[in-house]
Amino acid sequence: MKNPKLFTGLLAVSLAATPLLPAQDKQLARDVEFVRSLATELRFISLATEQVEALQMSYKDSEDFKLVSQLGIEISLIGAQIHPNREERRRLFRDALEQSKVFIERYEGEPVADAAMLTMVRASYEYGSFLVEELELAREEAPDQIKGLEEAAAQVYRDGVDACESAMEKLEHSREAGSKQEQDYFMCWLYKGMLLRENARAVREDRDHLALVSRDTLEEMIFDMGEDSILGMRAYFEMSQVGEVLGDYKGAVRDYKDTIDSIDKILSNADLEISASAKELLFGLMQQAYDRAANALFLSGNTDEVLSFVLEFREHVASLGAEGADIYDVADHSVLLTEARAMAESGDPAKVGAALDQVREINRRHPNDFIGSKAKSVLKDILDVQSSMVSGVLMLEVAKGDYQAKNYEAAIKGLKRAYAAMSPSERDAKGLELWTIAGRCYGSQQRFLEASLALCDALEKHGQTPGGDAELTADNLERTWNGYLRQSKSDSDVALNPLKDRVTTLLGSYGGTDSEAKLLYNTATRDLQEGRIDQAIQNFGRVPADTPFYEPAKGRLIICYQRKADFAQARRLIGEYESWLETPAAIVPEENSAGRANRGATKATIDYYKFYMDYQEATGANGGDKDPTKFPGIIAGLAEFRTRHAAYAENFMSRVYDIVARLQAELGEVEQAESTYRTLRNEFPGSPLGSMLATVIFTAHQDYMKSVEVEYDALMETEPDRQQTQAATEKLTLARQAALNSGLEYTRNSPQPQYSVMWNSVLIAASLKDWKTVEDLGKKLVEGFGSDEKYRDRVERRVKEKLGEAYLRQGNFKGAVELLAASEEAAIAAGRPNYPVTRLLCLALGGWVEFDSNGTRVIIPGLDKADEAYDKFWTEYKKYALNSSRTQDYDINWYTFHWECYQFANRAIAKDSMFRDRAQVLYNKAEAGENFASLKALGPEGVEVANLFTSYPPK
Amino acid sequence: MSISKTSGLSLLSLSSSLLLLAPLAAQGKANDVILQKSGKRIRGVEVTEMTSSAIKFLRGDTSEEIPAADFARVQWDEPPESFMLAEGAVKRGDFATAANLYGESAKNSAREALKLESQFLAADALARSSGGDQARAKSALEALQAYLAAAPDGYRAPEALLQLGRTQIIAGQAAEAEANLAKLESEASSKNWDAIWAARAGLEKARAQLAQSKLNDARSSFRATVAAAEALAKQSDSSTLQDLIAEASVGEGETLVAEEKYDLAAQFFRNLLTGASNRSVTAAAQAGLGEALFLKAEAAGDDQDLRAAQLALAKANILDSSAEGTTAKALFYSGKVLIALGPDREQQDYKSRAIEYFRTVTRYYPQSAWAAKATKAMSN
Repeated sequence: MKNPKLFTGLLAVSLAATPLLPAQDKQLARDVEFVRSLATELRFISLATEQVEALQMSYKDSEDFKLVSQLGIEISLIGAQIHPNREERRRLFRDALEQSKVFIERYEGEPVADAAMLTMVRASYEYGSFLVEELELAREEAPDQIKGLEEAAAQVYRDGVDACESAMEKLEHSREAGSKQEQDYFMCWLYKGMLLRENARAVREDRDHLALVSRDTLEEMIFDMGEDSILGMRAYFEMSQVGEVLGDYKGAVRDYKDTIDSIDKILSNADLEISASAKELLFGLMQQAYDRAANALFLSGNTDEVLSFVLEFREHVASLGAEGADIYDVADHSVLLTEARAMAESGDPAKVGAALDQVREINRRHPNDFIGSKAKSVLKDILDVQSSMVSGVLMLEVAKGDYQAKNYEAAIKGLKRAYAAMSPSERDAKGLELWTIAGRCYGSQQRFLEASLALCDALEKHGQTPGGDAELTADNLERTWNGYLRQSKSDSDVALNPLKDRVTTLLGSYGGTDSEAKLLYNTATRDLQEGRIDQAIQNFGRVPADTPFYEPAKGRLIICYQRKADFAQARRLIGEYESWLETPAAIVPEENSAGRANRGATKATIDYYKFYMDYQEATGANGGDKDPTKFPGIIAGLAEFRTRHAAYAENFMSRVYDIVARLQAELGEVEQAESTYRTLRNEFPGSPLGSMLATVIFTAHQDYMKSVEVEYDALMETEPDRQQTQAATEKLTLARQAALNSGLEYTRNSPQPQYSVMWNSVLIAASLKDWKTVEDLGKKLVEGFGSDEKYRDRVERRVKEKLGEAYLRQGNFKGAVELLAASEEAAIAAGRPNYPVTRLLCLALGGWVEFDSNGTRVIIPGLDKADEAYDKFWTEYKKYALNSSRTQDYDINWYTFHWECYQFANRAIAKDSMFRDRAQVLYNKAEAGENFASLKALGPEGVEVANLFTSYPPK
Repeated sequence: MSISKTSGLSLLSLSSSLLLLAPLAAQGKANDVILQKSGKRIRGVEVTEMTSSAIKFLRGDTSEEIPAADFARVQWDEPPESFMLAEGAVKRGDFATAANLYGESAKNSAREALKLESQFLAADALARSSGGDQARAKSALEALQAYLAAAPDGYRAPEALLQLGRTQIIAGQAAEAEANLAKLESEASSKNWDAIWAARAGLEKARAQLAQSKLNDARSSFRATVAAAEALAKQSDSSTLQDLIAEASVGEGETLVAEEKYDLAAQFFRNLLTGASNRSVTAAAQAGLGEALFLKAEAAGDDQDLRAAQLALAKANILDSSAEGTTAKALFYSGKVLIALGPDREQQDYKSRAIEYFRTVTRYYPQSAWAAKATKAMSN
């Protein structure tokens, strides 16, 4: 019996694998299968996506274009399910859903749209499940993200339910008994019930109601289709989960056990003729029922019952023909994880140890999926809470996991704790390995002094460990010590002398053979790092062929020529190396692990630099012409870099992400660029590339935002209808928000954010009327740049103006007046009055009139000094506002000035009746005896100002 | 369920229980999870009261309790959103935001136990966010005192009293802090609180004396705390006790640093290194030495001793396996040393490396006292 996950897979495949329209072209049919297998079997998602785009170009005028588009959606969904990076998965899910919606709208009414609807149903469920997994992780790791995730999940589920209902409506009339349409109809019904249930699970507020609707939906389905089928059993199982969602664990466990018993009776009955695939489905369903039951028992608090239940599960699985098989190969790992959690919570040291072993094994088998994330969370929990029960050796294994995940500081913490917890014999056995890893963790963070100290400890205390690779540790020490000498400019401070001696002694004792080659290699490396390229080339070229440094030297030579911008020579050397690899001299025996490691690292180096040179040429960075047509090929090639080079890719991945993101940004693929940027940030939080890339992403967002603004303005010229205006406004708002989010993220994560990015973010926030953000950023700009000579003037004039406006729009009139008055005074003292500030100051003093989002006129009082505001506005601001270089009589600026002045006067009447005449005069001037006809003729802005006038007539 | 044989696939008749609507929710009660210090969890319960002696809860309709000494924490069942957001804020060291959010949770919680817990956490977060600001510290004092008035025998009472003492020092009320902490030290046993509270109070009392420049008193209080903690460790050792021993051991050196007698302080820490058998103490002593050497260089306006400081701090980092405080301190000063060494004695990227040190403190040790200093150092 195989992995129960197959059940879900078959469930899904039945919905969407076969398009309703067969390909008209046999070649296309083969191409489609090939592309699908690239994604499903080889997991080359980017390559598959690229192939889809190529097919779309080839078939763009053909009827089969729709099929190809459908394939594209499917590839996105497959990628979303299997991609190792969760950030990328989230983007792919969103893409799949978005593409489905667009596809369905475009081809509404056609059969191909119905198939896409089924894909969308599936995508909604999968994406929603993904978000619920994220929610579960967030409850432990990041509780502040819960609300956002709940809302996102709820929306996805709601859309999914709508899609189910639409699909069912379309399939209702065409379903005949036993037809594919009927199967799809029931599948949609099942999904509808599941989506409603998951919505209830995700969102607390609507839980009871949605759970009830889910239960009713599934019950009706069972009644309609009959109870005697696998799908009926499936529906029953899904309905059982409603009880769990509502906290009725007892009832849920009872129902799950019913499912288990029923399936057991079928599988144990030799008289029943059941196909192998049906048996697989049933076995998988049974394991899922065990999983849910174990989980429900666990949540209800009875760990003893969980343990005995899972023991039954193990025996049951064995009895169904899996006797003697490794339990991990046949059993649902989620059940085993629940068992481990129950053992861990028992408080029994032996059980805690067994739990740790089990969780580690599960984690090892699930490096990148949700079960793996949960396993890691359980591990962390055990170590945090029960560290006294955990051996140092186990703690070391966990810390190694952190190291492999590049979570270096967490690894260091874990390694130190592990060492402290180890017995003397454990330290003897594992100390060398432990401190060597610690040295690497420090070294990866450029903390070469700590790295050197850790590696010295490794050798001094444990260099004699039998079977330990002290030579490798010594090699690491030499690298980190050289690194420290470089960082500290080889400082001759006497304080370092004892450490220098210590290092020299240890390298002498534990450094290996091939010392001359090593010396040459190290010298050449220093030459390269310090810019003596020709010398480096010479020295690398002299490294003998029969030493471990030969291939790494080959890799470094290519780097040298790349730095010299001699790409032709670099490529020639690459060709020579690749040819050499085919010769007998290049054979590396299986047992030569260091040699194989060198080979792997060198190939990764060469591959990276191949693409890097292509990138430099394609972007014109080497002085040539830019050629964007080459970007997609480079992106596709680098997207599989990690797959090609596995562990050897790690040294390059931050640069790979950087290049890919930049190219994506240049191609206008802003979302993809952002996703790649986030991956870089998550995997390499300390990398300086992150901040620089963030500005590129921000610029890409800005460019896109500007193009949408142009589009919007052009549309407004055409007097669009309400729906068009709404859609265009939404699109513009989204584009602005995305740009703003990018700017904010950059500001948050950069040690020294750039003024331009922050200022542009302020402007975007103001356009979105997000005054809180304007305020936060404004304050940061003032704090960060206010005393910098280069930016002082801009901060005084522009930043403070916006900051003042932010206070104003948030009702902090006092704060606004304080800031703006000081700014105005400073501007006047400098001989350059700042009239926009004067205007804002008047608004803060005297308030203003506007329409709220419901179209109701509201009066914002300001500091209720409309009289003072009027005087200031009329005497000081007027000369700027009505200056003929910016305002003509009866243009929009003219009317706007008169409106603002009028509304001050109208409200100042309460303080002094002499304002009545002034208000009337201003009103009449604008109205001009024609009921504001000229004003209205100026367009939407004019209409708005006219409406303000008429809504607020003179008192 | 029953099976009958049929052609094709299985035939099942569904249990009638399936078709009955189950009650909409099995129980109206909360579903809290109690975590005990042993690692054991008690699930499916409703915590009703948390006192300094016992944690009381309902399991179904039965009332039960566990000793407070066995209790670690509660995972509350569906707390208000503000509570969850506050937890997130605490994880990233944003105590100011956490204080506001816990305050909201205290207002919005319908459950008395959660209300009181939120009230304490709000006061505690406010105290942690004060970062040397007297005005904020005074607000925190009021909040802590309000909690103690509401729950004089609450589970969090000893912690609140300890935090009160620390906050009084920041608020410029070191004499009152000393008196309160001395009281906590003596009352801990009469109130049957865990003996470690007396030892912790002793440490904070020493700091209160240090703040009043009562240096001899501070030194003897630090020594007394070391003795008390070592005695406790003989009965039942823990990493908390080891941390306490380390902090108190270096306390005497800190009095010399406070007097700006950096050479004497350095000598003290070197002596401590020679005699120390405890890794935590060794680590703390290295960190103290690094701090003394750095401050000496800073005061003298020269860069002599900076490399020695850098080396001592790096050693502290390697050695420290328990106390977050020591590693956080070592990281913080490692950053400061890099800035002080400057472009003449370090490569051009010295600033970004220093910022990374500070960032590591704020990210991985957000609850240590050094996180606020690291944040400030980053913005400078």
